[in-house]
Amino acid sequence: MHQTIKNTYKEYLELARQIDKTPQGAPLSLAVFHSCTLEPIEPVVRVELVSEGFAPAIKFFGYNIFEQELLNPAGEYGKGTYDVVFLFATLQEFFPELIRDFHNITPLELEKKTKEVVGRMEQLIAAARRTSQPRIILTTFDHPGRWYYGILDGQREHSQKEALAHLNRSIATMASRYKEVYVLDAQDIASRVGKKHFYDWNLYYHSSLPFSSEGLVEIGKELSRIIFAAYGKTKKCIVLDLDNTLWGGVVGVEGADRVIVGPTGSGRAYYDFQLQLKQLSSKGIVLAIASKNNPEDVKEVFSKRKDDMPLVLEDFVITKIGWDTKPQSIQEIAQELDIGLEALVFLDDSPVERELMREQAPEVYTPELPEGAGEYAAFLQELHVFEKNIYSQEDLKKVRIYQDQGKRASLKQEAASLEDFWKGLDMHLTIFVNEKTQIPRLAQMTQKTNQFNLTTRRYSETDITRFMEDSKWQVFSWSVQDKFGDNGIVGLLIVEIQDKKASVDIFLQSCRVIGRTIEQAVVSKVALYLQERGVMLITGEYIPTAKNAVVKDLYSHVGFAKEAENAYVLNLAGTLPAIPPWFSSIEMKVQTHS
Amino acid sequence: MTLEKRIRSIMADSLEVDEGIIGDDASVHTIARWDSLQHLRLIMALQEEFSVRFQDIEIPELVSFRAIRDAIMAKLALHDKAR
Repeated sequence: MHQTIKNTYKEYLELARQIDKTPQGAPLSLAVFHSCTLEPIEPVVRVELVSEGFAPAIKFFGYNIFEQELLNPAGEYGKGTYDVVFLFATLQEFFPELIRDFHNITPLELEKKTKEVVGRMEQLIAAARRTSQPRIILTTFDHPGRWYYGILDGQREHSQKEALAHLNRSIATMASRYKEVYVLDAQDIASRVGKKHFYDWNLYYHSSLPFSSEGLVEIGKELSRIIFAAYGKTKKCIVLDLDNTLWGGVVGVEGADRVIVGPTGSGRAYYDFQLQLKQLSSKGIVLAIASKNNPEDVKEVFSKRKDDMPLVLEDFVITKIGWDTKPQSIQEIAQELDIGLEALVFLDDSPVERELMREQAPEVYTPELPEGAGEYAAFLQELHVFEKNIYSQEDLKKVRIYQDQGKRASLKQEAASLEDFWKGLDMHLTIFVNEKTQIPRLAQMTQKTNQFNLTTRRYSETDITRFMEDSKWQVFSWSVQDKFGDNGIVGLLIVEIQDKKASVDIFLQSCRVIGRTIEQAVVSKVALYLQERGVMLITGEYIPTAKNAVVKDLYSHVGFAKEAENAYVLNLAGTLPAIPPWFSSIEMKVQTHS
Repeated sequence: MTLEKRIRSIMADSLEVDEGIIGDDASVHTIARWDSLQHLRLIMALQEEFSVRFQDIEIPELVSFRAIRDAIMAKLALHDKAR
């Protein structure tokens, strides 16, 4: 089971009964404090949490009991530990002056009281964190009724609407000063449901539960979304169909000129949908395509109709356009991005494709798409599976990183072993010896490589040329080709040979190819090469810098013996380090000194 | 699904009991789990399912299968008349 858009309270009740009372998953204990009756929200929250892989334990504390419980060392709260504390406050209990006799309250008193309420919430945070560090979810306030001064309230200086906005803003500002304190925006939820439908006054007067089933469901979902965001349970990639999803019509039938998309006219629905996708992409969500089409047709749409579409082909980190099944394509996309299937969302207008995806890749989130493109953009906004608690610079850069590396990203899968992964890469290694055509690139690598660089010596083209021409030196460089393409020259190893002893002067490699045992293959082959030429010993040193900690123990890993701090030796009289068996081919190309 | 069947199904899910025990005589007296909080879940689910609203004074009366059935039938009949 995974996140689906459920709508009714009854559906949640049904699902809550169906799910295991002791589900498998990450335990999550949630404490709920509430100033109005809120217990009926439990099945909504439980179903949502279980659907995202949590095993929730939800505890409701007494009606309108906050400080009494949180500050009581002998209380129930103090005895347990909670991962998340939800503090649901309502104006009726926390700030009745704001809704009862608003005309009696002076601006000065209003400000004072606002500070008090915010201060009280701050104290509740501290109280909830006396003995442990739970994540805390606060609420801002909604005012259920009409504004005090009616339709013109917002225009007045003494405005109730303004006072509430100020209070809510103050709460959010306060919360932002704390780590892992989140705010559930009650006003926002109420406005989305619509105030008329959000509240149920009969229930309120019967049992102090002010919300309708619709309102309650929405609060429960929002609370769950905040928890998902806090725990990083958000989707990372949207995989899109093209025909009738990204544009109207079928390109293979209608042709690139005639598919429906554009900033005016009937293509606007698709245009706005693309704008939404573009926004998500700029926030770090990866876009990909899984489409049954001729790649040429698709390219033609993106080139011919570029003025009609916010998205360009380069916005898609991975494109699978062809005649593979979509579950197959989506598996490959997940592998290439090195993310789990559960981080993917699949959007396709075809119910058949959606069904197939749900059947064959149930981990992928495949929501129902609305019928008719008119609702696509709004639907995407409502999905809420891309919420994040933090938008870091890294997130924003991530799409770019994926775009650069996407195709070459690892094939790592939980099930497969690393050996299988390496084998699957189909790596062809070529080691060059004293290859003069590469001199500019090799000099550049010594200048630019910081991480995988044992000695961090910087050399000019003249230096490299000199090494290649001097018979006492040997310059090894290597390139790697894999199933995704050619990586170019990725590494450099230079040795100086004196008295049958080779000392490594430079050993560096591009970070792009780290973790593929290439360095092992190179060392093994170079050792063999030098052994055949009478060398008895290779010595290597690690010169620490601020950036090269990644290769601190490299020599030990590739078969050298540690001799002293940061000094290593490989005795060529003994057994040479084994060549990793998963390379598809390893070739040496030797240029003799000239 | 008949009206009675729908009511039984909702009562079972709301009160977390087997549908089989919701006979015509089922009430707060026969179902131990039927407390005030379960009652709220039930009322909300009923209102939603049948698109009806119960008044605050009606809510405490709806504590048996028969009372619920009669109240819903009366409300739905009113709807039909209005139509």
